[in-house]
Amino acid sequence: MTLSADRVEIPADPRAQYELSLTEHWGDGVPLLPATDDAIDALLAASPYPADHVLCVLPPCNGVATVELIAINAAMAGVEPAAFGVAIAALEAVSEPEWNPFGLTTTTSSVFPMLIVNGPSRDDLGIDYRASCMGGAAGRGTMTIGRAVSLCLRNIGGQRAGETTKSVFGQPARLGFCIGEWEERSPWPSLAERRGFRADQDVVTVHGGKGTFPMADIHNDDPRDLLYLIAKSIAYPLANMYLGNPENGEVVVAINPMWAERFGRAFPSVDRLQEFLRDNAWQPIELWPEGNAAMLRSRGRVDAGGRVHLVERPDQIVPIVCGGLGSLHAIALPSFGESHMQSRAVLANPATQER
Amino acid sequence: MSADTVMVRRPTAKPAGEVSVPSFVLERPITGLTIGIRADRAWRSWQLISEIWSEYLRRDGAETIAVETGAQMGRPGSDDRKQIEELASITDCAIVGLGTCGSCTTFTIKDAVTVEDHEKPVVAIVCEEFIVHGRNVATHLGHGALKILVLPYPLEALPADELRAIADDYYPQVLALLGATA
Amino acid sequence: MDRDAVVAAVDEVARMLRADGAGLELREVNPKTARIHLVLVLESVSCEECVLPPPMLFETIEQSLQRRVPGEFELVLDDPRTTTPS
Repeated sequence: MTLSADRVEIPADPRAQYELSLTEHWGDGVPLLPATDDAIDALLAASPYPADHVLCVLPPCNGVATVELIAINAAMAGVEPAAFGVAIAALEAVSEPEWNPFGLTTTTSSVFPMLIVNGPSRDDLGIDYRASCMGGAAGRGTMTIGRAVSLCLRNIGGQRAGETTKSVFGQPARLGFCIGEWEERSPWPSLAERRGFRADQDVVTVHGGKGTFPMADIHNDDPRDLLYLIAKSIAYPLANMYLGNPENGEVVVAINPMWAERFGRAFPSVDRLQEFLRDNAWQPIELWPEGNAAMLRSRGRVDAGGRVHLVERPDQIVPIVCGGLGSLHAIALPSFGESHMQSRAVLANPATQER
Repeated sequence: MSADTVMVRRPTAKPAGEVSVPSFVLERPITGLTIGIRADRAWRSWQLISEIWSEYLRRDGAETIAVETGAQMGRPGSDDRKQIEELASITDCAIVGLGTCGSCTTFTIKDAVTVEDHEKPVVAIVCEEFIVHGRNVATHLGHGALKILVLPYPLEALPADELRAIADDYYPQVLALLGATA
Repeated sequence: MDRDAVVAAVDEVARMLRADGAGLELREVNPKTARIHLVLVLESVSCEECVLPPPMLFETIEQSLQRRVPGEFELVLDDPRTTTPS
């Protein structure tokens, strides 16, 4: 395959390569693999697109993301060929205007693409969705696909801390965040199915998430009580979603399988579950100091009962099932607000597909 | 290539914005002109400053049209962008603010670029902390010459009398950047 | 989840229960849900109290599984002596 990116001769010693990645600003501070032609070709062979296909333009510097350049960054991250399609689909989703890539790659907020994968390939690709799926399970797909997306935003999009992105804190997901949903333990249709895809499709959903917000309970097994507490927890007073338009953005709520089973008995319909969460995700206007309260009032965020709801619609609170069997915990992925999650089906090169 | 080296491919892309379109200036007094002002629902400080400038512009003989934005996407974002398009087409020049966070600076610049794409003079208002970012965004959108007025930072929590003083101090500068003559 | 490993772990406990006339039936081993479902069979038992008490039985089976089956799993045991499955 003819590649067009500049060739660079680098030391073969891995430690020297790491030092070079730091001085050349190719990396994120973590050791990388060399993007050799063999590694890149293997990824391109698994892609449904040719190497010179322009997938998208990535902000903030509007670098042109050809499939070749994406493959180079994916090779550096250690993405295996079978998983390359997930990275491609994720970048397509990130570049959708409704995801608001320009806003999210430049904001002072900590927001970053958080990938949620559904479909039959999760296990084969090493995408973690069971115990420690958000950090510690060490599945190859989880640890490399998200990182490939992050490297593309850095090296193609030009996202550099303090220069082109004003993120005050960043967050750990900036090294890459890619988890799966434990569909088989969910009492509801999967996230992908709810978003219009088939159960036999591999789908990646990209959420503009600000981080992981942990919630825990060891005292109460009642599903409605737990869901009420989850709703109140995600409606914390400094949530981004109070700053912008209430109809924009989603909050993902990751529910462990044991709680999911309990919640599913109380709410067999995920729509009813989302309504319950939405109806309880509010705080009284009195919670905020007057300066903040005045702004909320001026933007019409306070209802007749003095409640400030986190979101306008139930579908803006998005439950997914994942995590281990230890129960006791849920995690929210709070939203930046001005962004709608985007989903893409994963395409593979038909010539290499075995199923 | 030697036994001690390996060939790899460069992973970076060139940033956009090597070519920049020109910006525009009034080169006349503002009397009789229609000047657009874009405020932002998020920032009380800018709402006050822009109201004061609007008052001064009318005092100095211009008409003003004020619009308020605050959304970046979805239906509210699409409505806001349509408002800016309309503002750009019906006004003679515009003042667009406020860049005082990362994404709001991005959208301040984007909306200012919309006005400049209509070949109208425009000044983007960006706070000091975000000027480098604002310049980057303008450059990568191909509008490296966009006029940007830098206000102090932070602005939002300043009391009203200090904001009024800033409005007074910076009004002549915004007129100068628009290219208004006496 | 290795089915053979699960079967070996269950057999280890089942051998012990046979001495009291009880049996352990493996209803489901599902690697996708990480669920192992067993049923305690007491039809041939003359003295139910002689069989390991329910909490101890559950723990014994769980420990046998943990020795042979890596990773997390959910053990569901239908024990007729309790009103709800463990």
